[in-house]
Amino acid sequence: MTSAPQPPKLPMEYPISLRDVSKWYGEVIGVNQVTAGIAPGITGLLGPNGAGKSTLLKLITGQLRPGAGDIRVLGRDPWTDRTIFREVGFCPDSESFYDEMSGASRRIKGYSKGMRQRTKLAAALMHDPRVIVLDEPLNGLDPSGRMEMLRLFRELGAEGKTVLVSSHILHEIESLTRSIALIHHGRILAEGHISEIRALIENQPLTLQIASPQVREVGSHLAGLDCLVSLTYADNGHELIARTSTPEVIYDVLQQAVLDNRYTVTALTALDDNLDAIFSYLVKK
Amino acid sequence: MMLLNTIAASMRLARRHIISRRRWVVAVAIIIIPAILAFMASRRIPQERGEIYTWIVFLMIGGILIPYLAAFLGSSIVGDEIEGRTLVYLWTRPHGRHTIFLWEYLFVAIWIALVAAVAVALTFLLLYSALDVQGIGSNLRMAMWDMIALASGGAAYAAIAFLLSTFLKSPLTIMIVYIAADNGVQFMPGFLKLLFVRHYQLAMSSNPMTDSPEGFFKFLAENQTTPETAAISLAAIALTALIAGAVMLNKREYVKS
Repeated sequence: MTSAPQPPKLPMEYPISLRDVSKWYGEVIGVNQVTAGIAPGITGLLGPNGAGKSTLLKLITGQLRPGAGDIRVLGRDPWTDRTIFREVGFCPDSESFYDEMSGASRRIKGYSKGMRQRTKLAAALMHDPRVIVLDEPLNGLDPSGRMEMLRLFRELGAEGKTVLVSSHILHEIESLTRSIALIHHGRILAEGHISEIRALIENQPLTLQIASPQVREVGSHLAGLDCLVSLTYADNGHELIARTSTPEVIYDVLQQAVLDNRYTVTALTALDDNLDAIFSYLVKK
Repeated sequence: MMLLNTIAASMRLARRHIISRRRWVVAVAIIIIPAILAFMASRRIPQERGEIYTWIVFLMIGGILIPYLAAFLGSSIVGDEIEGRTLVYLWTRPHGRHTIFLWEYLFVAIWIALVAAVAVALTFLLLYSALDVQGIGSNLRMAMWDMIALASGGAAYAAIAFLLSTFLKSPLTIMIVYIAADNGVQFMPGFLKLLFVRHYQLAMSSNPMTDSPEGFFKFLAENQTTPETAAISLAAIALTALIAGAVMLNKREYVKS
């Protein structure tokens, strides 16, 4: 007698594990067949607005029930086993509070957005949880508050706690962790070390905006390069738009030309070095 | 320790429903207004104390004020959390989804019972205080039964509202219709009235008008349900509604994506 092939086992050693998890809202899909394991330390969940980050975090914290698939937090099902919340802290992205509640000094109702964010974080961390799930925790914080929180998250990660942080801002996550998962349209597009993600997108054509008083000379200089995908002049007469799959070649060529006093470059901007461009590229790929 | 934390949190949340947003003013009005009306009426027609008592306690307090207070408070236990989007704070804590709400219901039911008891007691005192000790004593037992009937009815109304709020967006609208129908159905023949809280509430109460029925109150005298059966029925209604509500809370999703 032969037995049917067994599905791959859940990586139960992970504090948070998901296998083929999907969540539908009627005909709209929130999370689409996500399989992932979140290890101790900090993991960034990165995706543009509406990508499914919050839905995924709500599934992990047992607020939503998966339509399909299996979720385990510390080896237990968060929808049915409420005891996990002795060891799980959750900071939601919503701004809702009990109006009558007060913090250290006054009613939360009168708090600034930054103070509310800190209050939510304090509520998530006060019972010293092993697993910490933070939905856009840096929203609304001023730069010093942001630094303070990033330091706190790093400390928690260094203590061996499992910290899952969502954000739609790439550099925010990059400054926090090397371990990230990219989510878009409810799917995990890539997961792993930031360098692996970077490697995936390194051949993505990048759009550069170059400003120079000698824009025609710059254009004719770059036009001979093999790495150039397209070159267009802006209407203002002192800018050009170059698309290239290897921007570092352009950077080197421009830098050398400026050093050789062939022409002046007043500005060099990567127009689409942002999440949307990266995600669009990965989706097409 | 965990249980004590849950009870303490439930008390704080229940206090929010009862006292905050000037809701205590409503409770005070429910206690004072009927008593004042009863007092004024008794000054004009002192020989009709029994009838005034019936109209004020059974129709005003028991038929309108307490049911609507119970419906409002019962539906706000879950409804306020959904509306205020604060459910996330309760559901990421280590207790069952229904636990904190059931404790909250208990405190709300105690509050409704307290309001009903004080409202009846004040009305009774203002109506019968002119009588001698023997006169007060003979009517006191009646008032005690009425307090129990109104409190039990209030708890049942709150439980039904609690259940409706676990799966309806506007449970209060349904409750308003139900309570409005509640009074009318009692005068209809047949078994329909057995589905309504009011039937059991009236069966439990003393209702002096039905001791010697006149006019439309004679229908109430035909209420064959014994006070014991009525008490058990009200408890069964409340328990069934609470269990069904707890099941809904555990099965349904309330958090939006």
